[in-house]
Amino acid sequence: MNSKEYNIAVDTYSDNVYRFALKHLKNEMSAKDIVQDTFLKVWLKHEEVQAEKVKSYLFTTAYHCIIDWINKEKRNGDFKKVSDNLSSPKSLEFDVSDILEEALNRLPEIQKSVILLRDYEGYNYAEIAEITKLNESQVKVYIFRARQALKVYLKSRELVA
Amino acid sequence: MSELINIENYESYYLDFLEGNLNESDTALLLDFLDENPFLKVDDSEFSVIYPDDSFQLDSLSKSLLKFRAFDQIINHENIEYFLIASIEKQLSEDKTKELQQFLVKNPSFLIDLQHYERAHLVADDSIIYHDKQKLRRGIIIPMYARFLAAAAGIALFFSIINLNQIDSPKGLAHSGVKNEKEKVKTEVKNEFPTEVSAKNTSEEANNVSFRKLVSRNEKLIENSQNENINPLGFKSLQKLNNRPLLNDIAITYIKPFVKENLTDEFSDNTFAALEMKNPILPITSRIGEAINQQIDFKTTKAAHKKPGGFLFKIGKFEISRKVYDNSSVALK
Repeated sequence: MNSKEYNIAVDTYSDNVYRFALKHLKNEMSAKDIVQDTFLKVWLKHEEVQAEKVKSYLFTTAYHCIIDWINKEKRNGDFKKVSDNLSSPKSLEFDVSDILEEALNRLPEIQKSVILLRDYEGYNYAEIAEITKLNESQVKVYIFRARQALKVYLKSRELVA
Repeated sequence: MSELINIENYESYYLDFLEGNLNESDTALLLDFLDENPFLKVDDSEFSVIYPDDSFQLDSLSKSLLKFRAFDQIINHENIEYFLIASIEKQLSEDKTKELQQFLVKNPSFLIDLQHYERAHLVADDSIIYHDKQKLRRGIIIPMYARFLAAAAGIALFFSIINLNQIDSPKGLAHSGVKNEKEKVKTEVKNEFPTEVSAKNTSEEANNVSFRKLVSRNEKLIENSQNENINPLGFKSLQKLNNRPLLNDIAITYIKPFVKENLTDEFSDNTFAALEMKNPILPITSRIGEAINQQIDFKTTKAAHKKPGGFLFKIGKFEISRKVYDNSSVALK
């Protein structure tokens, strides 16, 4: 991948990587840091990365950056506090996107990752497996569980409303 | 058992008690022993580890996910969740999709679940945008700088060629629109070189005499200049001038080479150093200068009334400039 192709990847995928990180971290500054780290790492390897595989490479890198960040924050005891604040229901007003946001925040990190990659980026199981270093069966299990959890939460909130 | 319960054997009694295999008399003995030794009692929470609650069962989805070739199962109430999700995930074959539809027709209560699954699909918020893309870009992307520099260099080169031609050619000088300045220079030259002769629309003989004197004077000047190491560019043109044929209809005037020492007060006061020149592309020149490790300067100023304009372009020791005096005088350094 040359510098021109790299810059095209910046234009094409930086928003996607940013959203992916933001959904995990719930912190704009941290999400931007993840985007910076991700693209820096990809740039350092740009000569080895094929242009047609750069998206997968970007999300793989971003995913591992996010996991590292979460582990680091958990050690510091900051991440749970942030997540809890954001995941607590704010109102009983029914809004599907808000409820799904809440439900998403309640998912385990790995389920959140695979469902975001699936729904936001449209990756298939094999691609998600490559990004997350899981096998396809594991990806399928996590996606099915995540879907069920989202549906249960959505249904429960509808009943409350 | 019916033996005395003590610290050594109480565990076997305790396990029998927990499993419900202890008779009444031994149970009474055990309870008395535990009352005397309360620290040996097992917490209720620990009971649940030993005796798991029957309500804690693996859900049907998990069971389906554990099965080999789960898609081959017949759809029923137990595995319907699995097939609903598989349907959303577009994992079902055509046959299984039809089977699911038939099942839902027979069991419409599950249609609501299907709708919930459809609504639980996440959609990316396109309004969330990463604004610092420019910071992520890499590589040398200075096409504008390069174009600007190339344009500046091209312009400078263009004017330098034109001005060289004008100095080389007396005709060019005559046609270069310097008639107003010509008289001033002529006066100055006459004062400095009393033997200088100018021929202007006179007879051929007079022209020849004047020109021979001029040539003679030029030769002396060349000799002097070589000793004084003055700009050879101007003298080269004078040497060429010596070999040119005499012309009747052209006013031939000796003009000293444009070196600083020979400029009039007006000229010397208006050197580029004295002008208020500005670099309109300072970031570009400074960046390129840093890149090639050379000092680069490009300055311009507009000509005004009695005030010269022009440009100065410098790369390292190489310097080229153009000066314009009210659109009537051009000097090349």
